[in-house]
Amino acid sequence: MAKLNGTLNAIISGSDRLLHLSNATLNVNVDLPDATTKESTGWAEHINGCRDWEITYDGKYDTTGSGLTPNEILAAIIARSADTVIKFTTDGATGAAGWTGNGTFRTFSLVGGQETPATFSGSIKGNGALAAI
Amino acid sequence: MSTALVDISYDLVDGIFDILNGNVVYTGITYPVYKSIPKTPSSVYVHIGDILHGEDGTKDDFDYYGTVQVIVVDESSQGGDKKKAQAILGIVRGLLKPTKSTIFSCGSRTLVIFSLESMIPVIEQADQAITRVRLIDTYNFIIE
Repeated sequence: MAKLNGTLNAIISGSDRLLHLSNATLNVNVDLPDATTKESTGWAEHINGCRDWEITYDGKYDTTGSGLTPNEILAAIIARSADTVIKFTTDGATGAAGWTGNGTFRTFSLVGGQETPATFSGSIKGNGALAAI
Repeated sequence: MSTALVDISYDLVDGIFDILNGNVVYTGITYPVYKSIPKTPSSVYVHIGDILHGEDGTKDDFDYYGTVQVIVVDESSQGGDKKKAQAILGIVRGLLKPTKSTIFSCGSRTLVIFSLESMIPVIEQADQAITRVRLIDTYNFIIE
């Protein structure tokens, strides 16, 4: 199997790709509630609980381009915009491969350092199931 | 924004040249600015030196970061005139960065960052036993 160039990964919200990203990370978790009893013979046990997922990203701040700019992400959070269909793709911007689910823009940070390019970062919180495309 | 990988060296050199050329004036004398040193240069001049750069863009576009040297050269007297060279270097710096936020134009490219990193003074033996003073300013840049 060929390795994947991370540049070919994209985050798509609805039909718009998040622009100017340097990194994107998909985190998927399952809660593991403790199920240890006196019958566990000294070994901790658990059951499979709720699953959740989140996407974090960072990039270089730029207001141009056709897609979802950092400013538009910030505006979506301020407006408490409804969930959108989020795709975490592994084939570039076509969205034909990867993972998808409903998600909400949750956090956004904009950093302007002295004599460095301004950067931004943020996260999308999954609302419901995550499934393969 | 650069959507294809390109060489930005001469856009940057041209941008620096346009700012400095004809404007490096000290005690009423205008000193030449060279992109490349001619066979018989002036005894005092400013040279836009080497550019080292790499690419550090995003998933959408290319950004180029690196360093560029701006060098004041003085071999106007037997021992070189370091004081004059330093005065000219100060004028050059003032032209390139008259304010903290100044970003000059580089043709079709957008200069994002231009800041002084370091200065190295070099005193060396030139032809005919003349001492040459070279004050090498190294600037950091990010251009897209």
